[in-house]
Amino acid sequence: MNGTERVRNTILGLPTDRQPIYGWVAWNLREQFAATWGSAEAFEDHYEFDAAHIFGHPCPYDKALVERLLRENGEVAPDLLLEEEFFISPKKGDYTALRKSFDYHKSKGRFCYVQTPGFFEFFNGVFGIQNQLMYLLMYTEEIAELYRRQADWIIEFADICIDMGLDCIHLSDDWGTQRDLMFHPDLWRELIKPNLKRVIDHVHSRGVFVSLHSDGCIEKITDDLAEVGIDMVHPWQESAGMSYDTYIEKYADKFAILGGLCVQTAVGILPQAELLDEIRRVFQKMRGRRWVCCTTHFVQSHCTMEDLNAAYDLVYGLARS
Amino acid sequence: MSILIEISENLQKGKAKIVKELVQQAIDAGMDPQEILGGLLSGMDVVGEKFKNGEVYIPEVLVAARAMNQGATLLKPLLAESGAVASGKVCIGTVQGDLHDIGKNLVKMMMEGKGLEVVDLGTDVSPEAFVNTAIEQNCQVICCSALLTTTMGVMGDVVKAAEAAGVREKVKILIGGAPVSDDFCREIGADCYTVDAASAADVAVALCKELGA
Repeated sequence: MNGTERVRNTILGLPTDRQPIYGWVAWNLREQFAATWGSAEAFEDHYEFDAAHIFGHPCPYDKALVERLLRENGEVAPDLLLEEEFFISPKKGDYTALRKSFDYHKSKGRFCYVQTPGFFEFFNGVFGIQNQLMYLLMYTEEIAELYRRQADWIIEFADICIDMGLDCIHLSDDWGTQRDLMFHPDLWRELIKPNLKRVIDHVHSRGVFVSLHSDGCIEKITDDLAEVGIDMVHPWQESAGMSYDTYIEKYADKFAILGGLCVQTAVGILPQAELLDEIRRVFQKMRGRRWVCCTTHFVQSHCTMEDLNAAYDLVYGLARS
Repeated sequence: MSILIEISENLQKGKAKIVKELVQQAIDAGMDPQEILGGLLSGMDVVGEKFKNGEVYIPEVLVAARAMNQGATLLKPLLAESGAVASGKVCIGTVQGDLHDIGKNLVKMMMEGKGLEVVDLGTDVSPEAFVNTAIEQNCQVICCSALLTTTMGVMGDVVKAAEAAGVREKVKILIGGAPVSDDFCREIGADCYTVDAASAADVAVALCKELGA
């Protein structure tokens, strides 16, 4: 069984030869990996990572247009964007880097999921998060239309990636805070859910999975996520009140979790012995379930390589035991 | 319905334009600016409480704060003329190395909604900048925010900088942010940790009172 088969089976709830392993380890630790392992890739190979997060989607919008609107109006409100050719077709993008990364990881048999800008997260980059949160109330209809157009963009992008052979379309869309959603669940249901469903339905029709990243506590909409057919959720942040027991009880037959190694409370935070105990606890709870063991976010630069090596030595062993 | 209640209710709904108009009407009618401010603050108080209880979310707080600012802008010069003083002064910022500001901004809005004067130092604020501002502007409270585990340690440096400057007894240090906890607060020797923006504002008011502001 290679990584692709292992992760696919895990998502589908089918048997696997071992628990799949992954981690967002490279982003902040390139220099440390170079000094100790030669490269982050050597670490990923050593621990036989089963998945790969592929970046490199083209910029979805006309940045010059937004800069002009900002200059002219002092604020880029949603109604202004609706009058303009804001989105740029993903067909015009350059996929050289994305394809190179995909080919590299596929050659190692890994399950490849491709980063896609989520609805709320994407427009944070355009409006600023504080403005967008206000616009959700002040320009609800306009935001609905912008998200609908963005869903069109995502679907077009997904088709390009699916034609390339990608295994999963990964929407990155932070909706949670440490204790709740950032905005009312009914707003989420009105503005995001129908568009998310449209994306999922399309991608599923092409035989490919959809995964979601949202930090924080999103438990008020997890029933909805199951309903629209999400396949995998990252990170299911226990440190933000997302209990594994709830997952096991209510969602273990509906979608998989990518996560378990918390970078906010454990990896790079706890003394090594406690970190290893924490990993054992998570494995005890999640082993054999629809779970891909992964960090909950990027491992931070204060994590020592000694701790990271020890953590993955244990993960490697537990995944096979 | 009294105009103050109208101000409060419209503020809670985030109706900035109406709030501004009502405040102007109240001013024109010769009402005491301090009393009008009370209408704004009572509205923000309700929003803060609802936020703390999970009844409303960040967007509702933001639009309410925007409405409050519209009204407060009209009142500011009148309050200054009348010699009114805030119930305390806080300097707030996101610590050095951290550029996240929404949590900090929410706390600021809540504090202003409690009638505190807030000096916003922005993001990526050095420990020295926090302490120097507190000294120069007579702030009773320093409020530090961090979202990252890589930057929360700077909060400990703020405590040390206050000690080094000899003002630790005169200023309270309040901390918050996703990775921060009560244990961490005790570990670094800060005075208080709060889990949300509304609680931070309540605590800041209490701390200012304790220091006799």
